[in-house]
Amino acid sequence: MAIEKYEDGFTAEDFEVAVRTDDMEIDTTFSGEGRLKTALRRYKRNKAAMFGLITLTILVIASILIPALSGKAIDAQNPDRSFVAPKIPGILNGSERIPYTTGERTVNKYEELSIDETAYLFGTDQLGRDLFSRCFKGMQVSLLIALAAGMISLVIGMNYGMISGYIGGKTDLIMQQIVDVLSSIPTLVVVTLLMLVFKPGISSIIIAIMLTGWMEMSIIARAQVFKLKDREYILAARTLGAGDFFILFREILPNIFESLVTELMVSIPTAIFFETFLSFVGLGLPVGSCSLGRLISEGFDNCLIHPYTLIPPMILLVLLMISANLVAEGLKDAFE
Amino acid sequence: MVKYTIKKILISVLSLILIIFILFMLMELMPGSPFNDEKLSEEQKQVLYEAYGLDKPVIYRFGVYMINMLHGDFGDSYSISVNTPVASLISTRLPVSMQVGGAAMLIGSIAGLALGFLAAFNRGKAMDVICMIISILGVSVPSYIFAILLNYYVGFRWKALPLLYDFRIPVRTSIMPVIALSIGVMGVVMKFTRDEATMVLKSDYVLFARSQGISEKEILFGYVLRNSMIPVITVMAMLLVSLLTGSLVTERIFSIPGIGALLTTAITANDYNVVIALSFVYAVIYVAARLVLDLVYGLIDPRIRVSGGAGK
Repeated sequence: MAIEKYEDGFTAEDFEVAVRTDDMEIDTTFSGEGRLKTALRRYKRNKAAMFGLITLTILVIASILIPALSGKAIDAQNPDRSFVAPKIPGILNGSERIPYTTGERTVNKYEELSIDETAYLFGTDQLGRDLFSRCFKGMQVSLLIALAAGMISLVIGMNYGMISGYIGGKTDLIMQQIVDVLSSIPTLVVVTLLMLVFKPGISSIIIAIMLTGWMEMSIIARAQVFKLKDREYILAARTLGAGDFFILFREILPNIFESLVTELMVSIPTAIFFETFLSFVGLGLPVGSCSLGRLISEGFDNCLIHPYTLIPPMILLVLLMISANLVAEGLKDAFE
Repeated sequence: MVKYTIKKILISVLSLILIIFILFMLMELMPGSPFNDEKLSEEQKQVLYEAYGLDKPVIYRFGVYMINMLHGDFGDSYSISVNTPVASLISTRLPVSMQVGGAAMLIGSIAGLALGFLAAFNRGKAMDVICMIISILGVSVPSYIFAILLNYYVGFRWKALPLLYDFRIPVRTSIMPVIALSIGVMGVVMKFTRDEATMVLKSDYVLFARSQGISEKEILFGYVLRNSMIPVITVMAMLLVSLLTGSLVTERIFSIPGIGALLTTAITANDYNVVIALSFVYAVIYVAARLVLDLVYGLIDPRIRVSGGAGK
C-alpha cells in the first residue's frame, strides 16, 4: 500500500485518531429529547395540569364504569320511591328536612317505605330513578357529545385551514373572508335556529356545536401551516419530487398535530358547556333523556324542596369543566 | 385607516345580510303554507297570494323581508302575546337586559383588571395562586351555576336578598344576577391581564424605566396598565357573547323580564316570529360590538390595521 503524502510532508501514519472518552459527555439535558418528551416533562411539572389530568381520568373512568356496574337501571321508574334522600352508610342516614308552610319536618323515606335492600347514594328523582347512576350516565353522554363534536370540528377545520394556508394567495384570502363573515354570526343564534329546524337530540346538538367549532380549528391550523410551509425540510421534500398532498399530510400535519390536539382539548369544555346550557334552556336533549344539562335542569325545578337532586350533577359538571380546562391550559403551556 | 375601516364595515354588512338571508330561508323552508286549505279554489288562492305578495319572485320577497327587518318590523307574536308586534315586545325588554348585562360587564372587567395586575405584581406568591384559582373557577364554571347557587343560598336559605327580580326595586334585585354574570367576565379578563402584564413587566422597556429610577407607581400606570390593556380589548367581543348566552339562563333563574327570558319562552312556545326577531337582535348586537372593537383596536395599535384584523 503506497503511503500517501500530504502537502506539508506528513504521511497518514503521522496522525492518529484522538479518542478522549473521558472528556466527552452526553448533554443529558437536551440530547435527543423529542418534542413530545419535552412536552411531557413540562406537563408533569405543572401541578395544576396534573391535578386536572388525574381528576379528568377519574371522571371519565367513573362515567364509563358506574352506569354499567351500579346494578340500578338508568331509566327504571319507581313512582313509590320518588324523592328518596341520599343515603350513604355511615355518613348520611337518608333523612331530609322538608320545608312546609308551617315549618320544617324531617322525613326519612327509608323508614317510611321500609327500603332496606338498597341505599340510594345520590337519592332518587321525581320518578324514583336512581340519581347516582343517572348522574354518571349523564356525564358519559355529555362527554360523548363533546368528544364527537370536537373530533368532527377538528377534521373539518384542520383540512380547511391547512388547505387555505398551504395554497395561500387569492384562495386563502377568499377562504379567510368566508370564515370571517361566518364567525361573526353568534354561536347562540346558529344553535337556536338549528334547534328549531332539527329534532332535538344528540345528533342535532353535535351538528350545532360542530358548525361553529370548526372555524376555531381552521384558524389554528392555518396559522401553523403558515409557520411551517417555508421551512427547509419542506423545500427538501419538494425538491425530491413530493407532491402537495404528500407534503401537506405527511410532512406538515405531524408537526402541527400537537396544536390541533390542544385545540381539541380546549373545545371539549366549550362543548360540554353548550350541551348543558341548551338542555337547561329547553333546546337540547328531549325530556326523559339523560345528560348533565337535563339533570341540572330537572334538579333546578325541584331544588327548593329537594336540593340533593341538583347538587350532584352540578358538582360533577363543575369538576368536569375545571379539570378539562386545566388539562387544556397545561397542554398549551407544555407545547409552547 | 380608511381602507381598514371600510373593509371592516363591509364585512359587518355582509354578515348581517347573510344572517337575514339565513333567517329568511328558514321561514321559507318551514313546512306548511298558511293557505293550504283544500276548500280554497285556485282563483281564491291566487287572490290570497297576491294580497300577501307571495306570488312575487323569491328575490323580491327577500328584498322586502330585509327592508322590514332593518326597519324593526318583525311581524306579530303568535302565541306569547297574541297579535302584539314583536318589536314592541322586544323594546320593553331590551333595556332590562342591557342594564344587567352592562353592569356585569363593567364590574367584571374592573375586578378582573385589578386582580390580574395584583397577580402579575405578586407572581409566584400566595396572592397570585389565590387569583389564579379564582380565575380558573370563573373561566370554567358556567355563569348559571353561580346563579343557581346564589339564588339558593343567598336568596332562599339566608333570605339576604330578594329571590326574584322585581321591576319596582331593580337595583336590589339585580345584585345577584349581576354577580353571577360578572364572575365569568372577571375570570377571563383576569387571566388575560395577568399574562399580558407579566409579559410587559419582563420587557426591556420596563427594565430600562426601572434603571432610570422611575417609581413603581409610574411604571404601573404609565407602562404596564396601558400596554397590557390593548390585548384585553380583543376578548371583549368574546365576553359579550358569553354574557348574551349566560343571560338566557340567568334571566330564567331570576325571572328577569329581559330578552333572554323572552327567547327561552318563545322557543318553548314555538313562537317563530319572536325567535327569529331575537336572533336578529342578538346578531346585530354582536356584529356591531365586533365592528366597534375592531375599529378601536386598529386605532390603538397601528400594526393591526396593516395586517388586517384583530388577533384571532
